[in-house]
Amino acid sequence: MNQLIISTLIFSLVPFFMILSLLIFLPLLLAGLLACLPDIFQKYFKWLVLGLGLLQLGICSWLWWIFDRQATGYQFLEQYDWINISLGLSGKIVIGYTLGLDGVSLPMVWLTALVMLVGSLASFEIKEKQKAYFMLYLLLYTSIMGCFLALDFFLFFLFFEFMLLPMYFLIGLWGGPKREYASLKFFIYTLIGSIFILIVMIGLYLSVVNPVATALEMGYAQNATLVTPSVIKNIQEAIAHNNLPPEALVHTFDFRYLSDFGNYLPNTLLSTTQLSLLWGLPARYLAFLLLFIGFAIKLPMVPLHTWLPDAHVEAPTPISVVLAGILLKIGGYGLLRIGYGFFPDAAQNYAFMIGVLGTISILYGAFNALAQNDLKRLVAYSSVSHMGFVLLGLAAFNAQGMAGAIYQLFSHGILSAMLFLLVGVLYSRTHDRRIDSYQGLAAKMPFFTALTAIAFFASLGLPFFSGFIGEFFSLMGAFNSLLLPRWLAALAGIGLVIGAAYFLWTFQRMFFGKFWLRTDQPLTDIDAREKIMLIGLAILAIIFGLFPQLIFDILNSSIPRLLNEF
Amino acid sequence: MLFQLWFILLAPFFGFLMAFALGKKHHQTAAYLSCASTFLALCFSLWLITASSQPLVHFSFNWFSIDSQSFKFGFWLDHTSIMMLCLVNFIAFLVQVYSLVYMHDEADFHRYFGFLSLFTFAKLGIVLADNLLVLYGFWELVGLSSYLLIGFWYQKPQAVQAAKKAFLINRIGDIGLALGIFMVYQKVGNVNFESFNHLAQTPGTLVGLLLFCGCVAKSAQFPLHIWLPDAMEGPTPVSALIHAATMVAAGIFLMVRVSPLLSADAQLVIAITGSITLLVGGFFAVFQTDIKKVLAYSTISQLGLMVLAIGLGANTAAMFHLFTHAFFKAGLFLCAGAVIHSQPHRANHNPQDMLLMGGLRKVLPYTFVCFSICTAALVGLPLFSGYLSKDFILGYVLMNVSSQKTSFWLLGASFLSSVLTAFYMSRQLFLVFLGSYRNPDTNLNANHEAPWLMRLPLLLLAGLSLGIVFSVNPLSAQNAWFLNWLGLESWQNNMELLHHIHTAGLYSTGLVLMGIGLAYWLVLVKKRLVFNFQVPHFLIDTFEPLIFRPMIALSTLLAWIDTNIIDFMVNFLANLQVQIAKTTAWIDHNIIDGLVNGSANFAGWLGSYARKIQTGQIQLYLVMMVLSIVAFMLYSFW
Repeated sequence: MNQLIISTLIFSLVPFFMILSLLIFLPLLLAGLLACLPDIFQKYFKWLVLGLGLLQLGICSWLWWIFDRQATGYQFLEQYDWINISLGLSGKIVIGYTLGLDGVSLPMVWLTALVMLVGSLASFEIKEKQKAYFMLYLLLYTSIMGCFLALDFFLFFLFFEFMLLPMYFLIGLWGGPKREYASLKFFIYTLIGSIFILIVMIGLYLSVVNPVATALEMGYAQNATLVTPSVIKNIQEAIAHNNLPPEALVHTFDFRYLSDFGNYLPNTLLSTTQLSLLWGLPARYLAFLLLFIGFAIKLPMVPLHTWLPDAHVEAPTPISVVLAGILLKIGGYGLLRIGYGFFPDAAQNYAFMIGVLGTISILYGAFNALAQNDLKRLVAYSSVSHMGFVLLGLAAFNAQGMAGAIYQLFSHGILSAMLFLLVGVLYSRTHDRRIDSYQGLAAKMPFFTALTAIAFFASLGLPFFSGFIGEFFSLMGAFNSLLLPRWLAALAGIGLVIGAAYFLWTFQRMFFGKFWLRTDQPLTDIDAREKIMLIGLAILAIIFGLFPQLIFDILNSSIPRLLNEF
Repeated sequence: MLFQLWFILLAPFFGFLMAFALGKKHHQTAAYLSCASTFLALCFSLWLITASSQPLVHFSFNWFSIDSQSFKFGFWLDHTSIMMLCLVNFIAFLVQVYSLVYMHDEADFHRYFGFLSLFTFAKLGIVLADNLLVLYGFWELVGLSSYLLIGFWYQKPQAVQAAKKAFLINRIGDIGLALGIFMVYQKVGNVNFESFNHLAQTPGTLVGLLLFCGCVAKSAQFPLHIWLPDAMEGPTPVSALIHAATMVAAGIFLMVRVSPLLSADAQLVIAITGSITLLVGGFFAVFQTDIKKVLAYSTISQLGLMVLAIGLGANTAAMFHLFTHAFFKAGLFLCAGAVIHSQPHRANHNPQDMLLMGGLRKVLPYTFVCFSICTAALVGLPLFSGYLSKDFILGYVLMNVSSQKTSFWLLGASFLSSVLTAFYMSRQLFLVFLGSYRNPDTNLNANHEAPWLMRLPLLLLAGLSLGIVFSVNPLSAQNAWFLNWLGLESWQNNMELLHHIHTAGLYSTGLVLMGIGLAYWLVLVKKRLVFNFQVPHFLIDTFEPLIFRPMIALSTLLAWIDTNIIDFMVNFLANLQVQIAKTTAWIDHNIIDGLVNGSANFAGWLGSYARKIQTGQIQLYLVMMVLSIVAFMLYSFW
């Protein structure tokens, strides 16, 4: 009751149907504002961005609160036709501006708001070209939000691609010594992935029709509200028998229609009944593989991961935080929503391959982390290793694996942000990231040591921290999966030992022993701003470790839908 | 009842939080607070013994659910867990009181007590957990707190190394345990202990073996026992806690909890592992000269005995031995701490070296008496607690062998270990307390007895090592209240088992006396302090060569591959693209553009010759005209 009253109160303030658009475009608006403000206001920019971050996190938390746990579909839908082209005899193409949230995207959206807020606090240490920096940062914010909220493949792809632009400049202009190389590498790598995704997108558009719009076109119903499930069923039957005139077909990019096999035109390239082979593979399998590569680059997966360490090492601290905290998650999210969502048959066929690649990522990333002497590289490789668990969990094709993978995405967002902030703390003081430049820090920086210990132990999967739930259930799903052999998960389990090894070894080398520093810099313990960020994240890591129901509660309505597609 | 359980679990956690909230400034307060919280938890646990009219409390709530499967958090209280609660809190409390003095000069007093409380909290969680998932959570927390405590002196490289080693080796076992839990979940449908008792059949050997992996690491079974001796780098009271109550006992407790899941084959593997550990531990203990290392290997050996008992299905016997062992082993460690504490503190003097001790009974009479009692209990002399529990297990072995259920080798191993235990323990007693003082740098009177606060726990633990505490008739386990209380009714009427227990007691007493005699003759008569034969180092420390170094080597290799092959390929492709671009640029410039320019040039070149003909002289034009006509005519008439 109470909830209802407050909800109505806020509804009256903000038009409810625009809430998701607000999330996407508020940062863009602020970016526009910053562009107009003269440079004398420069010192307020960071506060404005911080304020926006708080507001956004507030909105997201509120969405979390009022999210309907029982409903299985998308919520807070916003739906408009955006581009509407008539192709004459080949029907119509409608690109929608469609936004919505479900149990998978809501945690990601909340995580975005959180990490961007932390990133904006971390951005306080950016001193050069603040106006450009914060504008790009806000552009990045908009495009990431858009990515998670879009329910239209075209819209998704737009945001997905646009993300590269601010990222390229943020690394390339505010980065370290090898920033040009790193930003270009990042850009080209991801662009190659995008091309693969684009190809599939075009293929899907050719194959899929929007049954609702087609029904209207055919005159089965007067307006969209009158299109009942039975009408849709009629349309889908007509589609299956190729009974519809081509000019009445309305092609679509809408996620909701793309994941329904009934909407695929027979005898098109990506239809489920299509039997012809392309290079020896069914076209759907090929399409899935293209999507897989595209998103695996973003995730990143071994062997497509080498952009990540370079980008991380060169990026400034807040950008590393954002990169590891959310950008990688888009890879996992995209794979789940698009790859698995539209090509479940192919995904299932390749489950073993995905599982093997996940396991390789886990082990390979962990071993590489063990060999690093640069702290940021170490954290970057640990990210590769942790993202391997996502792949492994997704490969399992059961509820535990799926839930574990999504939890792992979420938890890694918090923990990797924390890890990069910790590296940033040291780097901002000494400008040295080499592990062997430090020794016995525990004596000099006790608070920093305690927080690092929390971050390390949480990252190595200690129970009652968020990382544990993700890794444990990804492994559990994989171990009990019908599609994967048992030894695969057992092998992946070794990753947990190596994970412990590189974190503990680093901890031992840097924090224990007698105090010693290579550079002769004054070393102070962390200040208030750093404390707020780090303690906040540590508390979140514990909260989500103790109360995983917070996320599973939301996820549980979506998991059966995801699994039923298979 | 529920409130008490929550209180028992959370009181030490509160101690942990308070220690860090109070910080360095109020470290004394922090220490007292954490002692007090453990004491309160102990009182509640003791109260549970009397108050538990109903035999069992089971409480659980939904922790979280994935899809429609629910994972619960809950408490499972039976007599075994009540005993463990009392034991853990009791030992933890004594250790904390002892540490008040022992660690008094530490700068990070509050941190030490905070970690002790965390350790206790984690172990209490294991004891109370009602399902494997929750148990696993606390299980790893035990690993964490042992890491923090073993590496407490973080400036000391060996301590840090030992802490890391302990954690990593435990992690290896944890993976097995985790996989075991996954499999239990799949085969049983949930991971609650309650449902294990109602299974129609055991869910396969692999499940049992995977779960046993956790025990192998945590309870220091061969071949993952290697972390335990190194863990001696931590403060001595911590060693007492690890060895007696909190850490190594967890593995035994786990196996007791999951015993319905063990198939006959799994039990056999467990029994064999236990007996190997029994011998390995005893064998290594013989050669030690460090006062704590002897005790560490002895713990390994005793744990092997308990695991052997579990392998034979004698859970109650294992729990009984776990219980008696906790008291006398904690006593021994705290005595060792008192001895170390009494030694002069100097650089280049190792206060744990038994070769520099001797004759300490004159200056440390209390410690001597307590140490002797605990030793007697450990070797299993009649009238002491060890006699009851150890011969209970030996009786089981004897019974199984005589009914030909298990191999004769298990019997041989367990009796041989009786001799070994008697030998190395009495050797230690003789080396430390008897004979003459051997440290050339100081004289005997420089050593002082510890203050009362440290002596009190010793006396208590020594008192609890007497057989009379556990059984009205200290010569026979038949009337042990402990066993009755644990609810093993059937065995008392099992005359065969009783008979075997008595026989085993008789034999082992003889063997123990033999071991003691041998030690007496070697150490005090022949003055043989160090043996000529030493166990090769690579046998003792298999961690470095077998695990750590290959891991580092592989990581170096993979890092090399990453930069020199994968990233090389990426850069190569990028460069290739640039080269292709350059080539096309060259082609564009030199060939395509060259063709265009070439044709233009050719026209110009042709023009330059044609130009030469245009001289402006009429005569020449005429000649050319005539020549052309001639040529044309010739051509057309040809």
